[in-house]
Amino acid sequence: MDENLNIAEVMQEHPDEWLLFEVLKDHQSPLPVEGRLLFHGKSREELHKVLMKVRNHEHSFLIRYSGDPCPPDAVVVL
Amino acid sequence: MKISFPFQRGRLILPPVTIEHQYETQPAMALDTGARMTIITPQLAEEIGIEVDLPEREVQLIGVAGSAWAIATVVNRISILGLTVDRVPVICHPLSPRLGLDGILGLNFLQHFNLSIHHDTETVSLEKIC
Repeated sequence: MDENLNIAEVMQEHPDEWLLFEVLKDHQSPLPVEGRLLFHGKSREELHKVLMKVRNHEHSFLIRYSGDPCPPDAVVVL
Repeated sequence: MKISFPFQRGRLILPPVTIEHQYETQPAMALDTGARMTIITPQLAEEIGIEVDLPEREVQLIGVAGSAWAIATVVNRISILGLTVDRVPVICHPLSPRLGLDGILGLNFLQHFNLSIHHDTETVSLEKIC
C-alpha cells in the first residue's frame, strides 16, 4: 500500500467499506484525487486504531465510507 | 469567495471537509441545516488530538429519536474547499455505525456562509459571509 492511488477508483473497488488515505497537505487545491491507502475494511474502530498509529503533522488523512449511508431498510433523520 | 461541490439528489450531502486541530483529517461528515450544533464522533475527536477524557462541559442532545448527554468542546478549524471557520464549538457524541459518518456539520458552522442547494444540478454552493 505504498503507492498513490486514485481515491474514487479505490472506493469503487471496495464497496461498503471504511477507507483511510494519507494525502498531502495542500490547502491551495484541497480536494485530493490521489492518496496512499492505509486501511480498508468494514470496521471504523479498526480504521481508528490505524490512524492513531500513523497520524503525523506532515500529512492530512482522508476518511471515507464507500457504502450508502442510507440503508434501504432505514430512514435517516439527522 | 464562493465554492461549490457535487452531491447526489435524495442522499445525504457530504461536503469535502477538512478538520484541523493538533492533527488534520478529512472526515466523512454530512451537512445538516436542521442541526443547531456541529457533532463529531469521539473517535474523530481523538484522531485530531482532542482529549475526550477531559470534557470541558456536558450538554444535553435533543433529537427526533430522544435525548442523550454529550461533551461540548472546540475544534481549532473546520474548512470546506478553503473556506474556513476558526474555533468551532462542537458536540462530541457517537453516531450510528450504519450511517458511515464521522460527524454532522450543523448551523453553528453553516451560519458563516450563504448556502444554496441546487437539486437540478446536484450541486451545493457556499459563500463566506464577510
